[in-house]
Amino acid sequence: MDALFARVRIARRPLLIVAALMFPLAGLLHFILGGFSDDLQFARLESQGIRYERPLVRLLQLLPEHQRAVLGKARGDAAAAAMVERSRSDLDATFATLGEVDQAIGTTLHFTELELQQQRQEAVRFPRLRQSWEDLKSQGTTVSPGAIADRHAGLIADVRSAIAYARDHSNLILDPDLDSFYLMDATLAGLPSLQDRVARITDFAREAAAASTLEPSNQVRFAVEAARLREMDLDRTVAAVQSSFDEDPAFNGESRTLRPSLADPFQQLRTAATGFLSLLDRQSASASPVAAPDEFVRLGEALRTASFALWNVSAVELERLLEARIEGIAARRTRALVIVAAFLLLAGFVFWGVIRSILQPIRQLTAVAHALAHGDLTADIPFTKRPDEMGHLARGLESLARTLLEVVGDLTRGLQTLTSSSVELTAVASRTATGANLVADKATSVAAAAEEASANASSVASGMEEAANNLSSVAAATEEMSSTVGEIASNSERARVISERATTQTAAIVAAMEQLGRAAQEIGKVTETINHISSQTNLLALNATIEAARAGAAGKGFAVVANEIKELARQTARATEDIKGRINGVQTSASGALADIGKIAGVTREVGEIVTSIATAIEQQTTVTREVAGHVAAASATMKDVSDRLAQTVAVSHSIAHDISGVSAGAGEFRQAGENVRASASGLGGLADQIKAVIGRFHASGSSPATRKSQTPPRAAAPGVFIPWKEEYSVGVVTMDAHHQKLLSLINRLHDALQKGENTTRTQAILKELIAYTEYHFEAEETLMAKIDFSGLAAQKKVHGDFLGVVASARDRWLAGDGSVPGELLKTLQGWLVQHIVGMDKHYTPCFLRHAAGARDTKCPLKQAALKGNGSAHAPGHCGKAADHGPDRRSRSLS
Amino acid sequence: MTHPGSERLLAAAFFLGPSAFGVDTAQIQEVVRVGNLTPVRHAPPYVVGIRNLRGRIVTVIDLRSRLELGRVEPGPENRILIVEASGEPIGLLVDRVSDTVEIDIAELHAAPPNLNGVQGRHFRGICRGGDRMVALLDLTAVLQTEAEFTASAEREPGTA
Repeated sequence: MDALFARVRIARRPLLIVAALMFPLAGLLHFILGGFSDDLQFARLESQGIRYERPLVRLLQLLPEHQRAVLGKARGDAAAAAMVERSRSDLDATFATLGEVDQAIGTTLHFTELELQQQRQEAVRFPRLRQSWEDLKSQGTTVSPGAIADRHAGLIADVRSAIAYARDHSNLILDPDLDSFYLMDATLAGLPSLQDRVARITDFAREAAAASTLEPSNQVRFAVEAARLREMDLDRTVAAVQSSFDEDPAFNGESRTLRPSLADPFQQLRTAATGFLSLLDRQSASASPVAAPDEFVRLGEALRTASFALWNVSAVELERLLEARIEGIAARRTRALVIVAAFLLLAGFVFWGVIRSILQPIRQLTAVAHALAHGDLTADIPFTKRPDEMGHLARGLESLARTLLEVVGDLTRGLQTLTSSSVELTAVASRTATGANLVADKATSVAAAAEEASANASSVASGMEEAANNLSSVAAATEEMSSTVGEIASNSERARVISERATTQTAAIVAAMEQLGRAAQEIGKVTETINHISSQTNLLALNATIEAARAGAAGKGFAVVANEIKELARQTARATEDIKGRINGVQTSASGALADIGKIAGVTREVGEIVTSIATAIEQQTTVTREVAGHVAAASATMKDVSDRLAQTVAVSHSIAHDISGVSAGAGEFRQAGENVRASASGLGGLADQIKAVIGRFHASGSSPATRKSQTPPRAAAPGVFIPWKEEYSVGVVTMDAHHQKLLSLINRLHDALQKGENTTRTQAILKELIAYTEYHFEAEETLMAKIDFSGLAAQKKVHGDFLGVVASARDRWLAGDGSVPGELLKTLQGWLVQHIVGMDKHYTPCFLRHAAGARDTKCPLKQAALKGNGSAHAPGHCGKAADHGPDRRSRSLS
Repeated sequence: MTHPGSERLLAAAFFLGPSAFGVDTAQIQEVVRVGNLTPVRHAPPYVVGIRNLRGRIVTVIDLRSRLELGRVEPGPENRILIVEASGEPIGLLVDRVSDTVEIDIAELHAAPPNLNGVQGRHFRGICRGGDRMVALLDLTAVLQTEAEFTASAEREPGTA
């Protein structure tokens, strides 16, 4: 059911409700209109009944006249013969009228053969009535007067039956309005009965007048007929007409014609009736025979005429009342229809308003939701103040947009942290490089100091040798002491000078060693700084990893870089530990050497003192020759010791020199690591730019609305990018891929700007940026190719230069006003860049891979990570020998 | 190494004394140095102080003290993991942060009732992370106060 309605658009659904309501409404309307129609039908049938009765009543009036005329003619009355003719023609005309009416509405009033048979009323059918009349006419005066009267009476009875039948089948006796009902009663019951009775009384009076005396029974009959006429006919008719006058205003408004037109005939009827009744009263009161039958005939005829006049007027008024009723019903029907139409209009208006109040918010909120989906978070959301469900929906959308804004804001802030982290990382890398240089400098100066110390030690050694020789000669000379005192003196003097020189040189060694110690301490400080930096890097990398994990799929690439940075930090820490160990070795060795040299200094001083004592002892030489010999032997042994220690010092110096070379190597590695960190940081920056581009889809960054609009990528650009980045464009070097992607995005922006017909200043700004970035990229690419000794470097340089020339000349032509340039240029850019990346740049991939593979045992994980794997085996370009002899290159850089 | 379809999470591994613990990085905002901590009077003993982190006030908790493993020994390798609990930034002071480790959720074993002297309810599980066992902390349980824990245990008997 729900699925069925879900197919119908919301705008159409209320129409379903309307349709559902329309059926009962239409049914109701149908029944109401049917009621009106029935009432109309009813009233029309009544008027038709009157129309049918009119000729019948006329027959009632004419037939007794005809009878009288025929009887008169039979008596031989000449005037009566003329009257018969006139009466016949009247009756013929009336039958013709009745025939027409019967033809027109006989069926409606059920004057059909079948229905009349069922009701056993065949006699009132029009053909039968006319047949009776034709028979009556043809008989003329050939039959007896009694038969004439009977025939006439029979026909009149049939006409009466026809009147009753028409009245019964035309709803007249069911008339619902009191005014027309009473008028009908007077017309169809009261007056015919009165006419009939007057005719009978007149006939009876004529018969009674023929007798010579009035029999008592006849006298009684006069009294009875007078009472019947008065009470049953006249009073009834008068009361009916009066009631119809009284009730008239209550039904369909007061008729303007009823009372005025009835008043005169009504009054005449009453006057005529009064006259006739007073005659009857007189006759019934006296026993004398009927004196003047003509008087009866005259007054009776007057009453009949008055009654027919009243009948005609009443029939006309009855028809008018019915007409008024028909008009009233029609007016009520029209009014009902107008009211229904008005309510339908009102319902339609309410319907339209309700639909509009639902549809409009839905349409606008849908548009807002679309805008949100396309990243426009700043779209104004309408209807949020509305209290209804649309308001709820709008407020929901608003809070959705606000949440999105916050998320984008958070992401932007995270990105800012990331960007500042990468800047910080770059700074750290620079500082690492500076520190490494400092270490290298210090190491060189330490090496020089060690060299000097070594030289000094050698010189001391040779001095010692000489001293030893001199002592030998002293020893020899002691044998010939007395004769060679002068020689001994001079020799001892020389020994003293030499030992003094040895002392001075020892002091120089001490100074050099102390310098060495200070240098080593400074290195220690530097390594502490490096240690601090590496721990900071580690922390940054950890946070970067966490941030990447929080970013989800978008942070995957970033997570790899963060991992590499972490690995680097770990490497740095390890290298620092290594350096610290070596520096400790240097410091231990230096302090050992210092102690040794201190001992040498002591010994040297001792030698000096001994020589001095030799010199002083020479005076008493003669007496202490043996003592001298012993002293000389002691000196000789000491000299040997000194000699040994000197040899040791030289060895220590060599070891220092070796250690220092190790420090130098570590520093070189450091510098390398620093550079790699910087490369990673720039990669990090590239990634940050990419994420920024993703976030840029949402118009939510802190920039002003104007710039925000300009940064919004065109809606159509998302699915149909001019040159989309494809995996096959990857050259396997992360930084170069980032550069190529940036170039593609710039070309795409240029394309979009041209497609949208943006102003020239903006497109030219993009072109300018494109050229600047291309120059920067070529420089970076050439540096990379030089670093990996790529043989195709020269060719690449030439192609790069040519391309820059082409683009620059295109820009100049454009600036000069050549409108065809942008299209051409885009084609050139598209073709050239893709072809260049796939055709040329990819050639250095294998070389780069091999170079990185060669460098693997130098533990340079960044390079390994920078590789994206499937480097093709066939490389049209060739690497230089350095790539094939990676370790050689490394040792060269260390030396 | 990653099996397609298996759910993994990245945990930051750290040390409290000799034991290695892990927290899902999705729950961590960042890791910072200890910096200047301002002591808070009348705070529970495990609250070491508050710290101003770029304008946000972070309550710093001694995680060892919180897990009843003594107190974090001051040292240059001390770190604070910034997490968020009930919309409020909380700093977890730890001895040392080592690394991030990837954890396959499928290989996460239920923690024993008592692990290195810490109640098992504080853990989401235990698993191999790199070359050692890492106990993955359930931050919600750790940051729940005793009163809340008792209350929740009363509400849901048998699930504690």
